[in-house]
Amino acid sequence: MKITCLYVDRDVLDFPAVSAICARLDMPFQIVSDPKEVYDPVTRSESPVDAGKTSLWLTRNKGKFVRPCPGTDYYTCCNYTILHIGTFCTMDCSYCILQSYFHPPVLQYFVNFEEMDKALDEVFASHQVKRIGTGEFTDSLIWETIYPYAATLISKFAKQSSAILELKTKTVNIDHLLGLTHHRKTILSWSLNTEKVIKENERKTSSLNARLAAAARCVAAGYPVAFHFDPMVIYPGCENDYRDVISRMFAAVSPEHIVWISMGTFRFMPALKPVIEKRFDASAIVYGEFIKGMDGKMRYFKPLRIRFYRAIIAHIRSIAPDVTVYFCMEDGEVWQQSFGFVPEEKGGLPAMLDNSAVRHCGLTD
Amino acid sequence: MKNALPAAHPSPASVFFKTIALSRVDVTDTTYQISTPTPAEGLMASIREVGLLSPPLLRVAGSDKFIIISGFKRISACRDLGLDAIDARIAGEGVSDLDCCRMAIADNAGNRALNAVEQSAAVLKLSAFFGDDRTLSLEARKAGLDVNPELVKKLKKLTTLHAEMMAPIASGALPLTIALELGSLDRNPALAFLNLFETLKPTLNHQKEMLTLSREISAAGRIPIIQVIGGVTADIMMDESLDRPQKIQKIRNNLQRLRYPEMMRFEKQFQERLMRLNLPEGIRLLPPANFEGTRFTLSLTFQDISQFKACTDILNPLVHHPDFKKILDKDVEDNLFIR
Repeated sequence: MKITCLYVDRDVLDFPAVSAICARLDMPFQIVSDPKEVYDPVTRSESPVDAGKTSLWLTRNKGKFVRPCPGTDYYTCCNYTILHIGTFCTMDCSYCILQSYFHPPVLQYFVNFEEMDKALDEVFASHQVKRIGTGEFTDSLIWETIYPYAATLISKFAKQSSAILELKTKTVNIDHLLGLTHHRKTILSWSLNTEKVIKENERKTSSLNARLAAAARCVAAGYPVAFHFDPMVIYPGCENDYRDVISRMFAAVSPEHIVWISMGTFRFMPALKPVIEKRFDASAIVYGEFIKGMDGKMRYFKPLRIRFYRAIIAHIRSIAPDVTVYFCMEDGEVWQQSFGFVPEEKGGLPAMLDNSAVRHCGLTD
Repeated sequence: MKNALPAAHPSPASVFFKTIALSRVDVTDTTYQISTPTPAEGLMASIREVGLLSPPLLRVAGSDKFIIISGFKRISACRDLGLDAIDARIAGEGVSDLDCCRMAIADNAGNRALNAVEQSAAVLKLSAFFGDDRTLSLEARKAGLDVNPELVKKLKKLTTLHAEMMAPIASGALPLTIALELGSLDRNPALAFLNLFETLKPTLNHQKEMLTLSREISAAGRIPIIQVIGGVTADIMMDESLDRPQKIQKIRNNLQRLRYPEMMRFEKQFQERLMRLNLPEGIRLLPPANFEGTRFTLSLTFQDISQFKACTDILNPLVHHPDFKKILDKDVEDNLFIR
């Protein structure tokens, strides 16, 4: 999506990243002293989500760069750590929670990298195993074409051995990362979905083949990789379609290079439904058999989820019996009925994933 | 003057009383008409008995004609009674279009509650002078029409609805929210729903439910919505053994089954298993809401030790009952067919 409005906070004007990004975008920008100058035009526009996707605001992260993932109490969370590099996304996925998460949604890119650097140093100094990712509030690699900062992060993580960096993306912006020294402390990961879901719900993203080819190139460059099937959409024929994607995934990347595979069926806050209906009228994604879950989000009827997960897990296990597979935000009953065990039997979900990171990425602390 | 009212706007001098010949009133000019047609017999009888108490408000239009600002029904009644002349209030040529519009709204809204179609007409007339919904709301309120900006937005959309809907909206038979939903459908399905709602008179919530379910079944299956509602209602509407509430319930159930086939199937199987447990009236087994949580609830109703013992005698063998285990396991294997 093309950036049509560029805003720069007055107090970051002289930051090196700002001049580099402005030069790269080569477009006029508006200096702002008050966030309202950015938010108001987006809020007033006919479609704030669309307006937000073309408005880039270079600003300072005034909160914490490193923060825990906001899980909920009832469902099992993996205790992921977020590195908060920016907000929103230039790609356009129907199911994206960010459409209704920010009020209004705006592309923010945080340029106070020195503070991010300090925050990471504090994390590394704790010498605790951490799984840290930048892909929670944005895509990890969307800004690489205008400001390739991932390389700096990869190099920084390469110099320590207690934490891994996960770069989660639907892009294939990885060419400039292949020759870097990474010491396997960065995991490149892709969100995968069926061709049908991608076609109907993921605008401006890379094709499935392109994502898998990019993953294969990263593996060839020595990176560990991961895959996220989230959201998985239940529709007639979905099991076969997901089996097909899984087979293609393992054909592109053999299981021993995969640190983890996550799965999560589609869930959404009720407020997202009208947004999707309005913006994605060709998508039937919100018309599944949903109930209100224990966290207030709409989820597929539990017996449906379990039935679906069982089929998919069976297929994964038939190809890769030992690869780490986990659920994002499911309860013990779903774990037990789908996997045949609950995470607590293996020390808990965070420990399961930490152990996999230790094994694949050579964490030592 | 301490107790004087603020000067009226337009100035009183520009509105005056006059006796005019009815033949000089152009009844075809509906520039300021807000009211929807209603039977005039009652009004005619009243005018015949006690006379025209409230003179219509007219506007000078050219040298020899008047157009009606307010009082369309009164003029019509007077003409039907065969009167030649009436007393009227006349807005002179100095009165602006906007002021005439305000007077039309104030005169109508001041005398009775306007229905949604009339409110829509009033808002539309004002919208020729004011742009955004907030300003329109303020201006309408000044003229005595209490509509918030959100309602203004809805009222403006009324004009885009199919013509057949106006009468039921005006009579209150078709609620505004439902009318607007129907307005987003093509004409044939909209009229099919209108006919269904007029025939069965479901509650507002049931109308919303039927519309939402039909719309979602249509979107999910890429089936025309008229096919959905037609398929669900055809046999039920013809079934003379069913009364109105039974028909409504049956339509709702069928739509639920189409929209949530697996959930309905699972719920049915749960009920069948529950029946096979053969629990007496005093024992109730409740599943977690939507089968999402993990805690079932068992409630016992008893009044003495012997009844309590009777309950426990029934409960203990449940541990070995295959249906009880399947219920607790939320057994899915034999219920669901999604592939």
